[in-house]
Amino acid sequence: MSLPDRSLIPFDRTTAAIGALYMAVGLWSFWLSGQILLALAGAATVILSSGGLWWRRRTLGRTPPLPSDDGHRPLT
Amino acid sequence: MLLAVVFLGPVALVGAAILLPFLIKWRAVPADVPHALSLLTLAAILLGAYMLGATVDSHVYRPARLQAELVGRPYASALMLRAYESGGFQDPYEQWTYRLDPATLATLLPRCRWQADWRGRHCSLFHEGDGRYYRSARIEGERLLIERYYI
Repeated sequence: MSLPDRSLIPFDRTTAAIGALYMAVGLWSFWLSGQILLALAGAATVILSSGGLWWRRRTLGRTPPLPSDDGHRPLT
Repeated sequence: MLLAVVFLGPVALVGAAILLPFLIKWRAVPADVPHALSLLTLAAILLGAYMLGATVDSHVYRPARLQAELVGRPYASALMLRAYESGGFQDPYEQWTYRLDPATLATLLPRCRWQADWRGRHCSLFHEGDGRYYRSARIEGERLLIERYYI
């Protein structure tokens, strides 16, 4: 599930997909020449974007309930 | 590798730090994510984008152009690439090793100029150098080796 967002770094599957692309090409490059930096950047992108998504879901879970949900009758 | 991390990592972080205030102002990063996390993610994306471009250049574009210059056209594709080596600080060199399929090998073998040196007898497709640089294309077994040295 991804959170609806129009950000440049939305911290959802798009960001993770960029990281996965980096990792795929980076592993190919590592196999050919031993250069691991691109794969590392891809892994960091995937981990950080997952962290951002986790943070956003956690923040959404802490949204305070509406006044009508806490057992009190809303003021009219 | 270590050199790249030591130099490119801070460059990516500084670039991300310069970009991030603008992205926050334009609401291009989520407001509910800590800025430190956005900064690190942006740095990783920038570093990856640079490295992706450099990898495509060194593994796909540059060897294809060199093949076109040395043997007429890029006979071996990036999918045939089996090894890439580069190095040298003041005397940089690059070497690409391709594993050729039988059809491509059959196309290239008639163009061989057979030479013998300390490596044994091998097929030279092209070589030139003027003391400052040297570049060659040769076949060893099923492998096509493209080399470029700057002396």
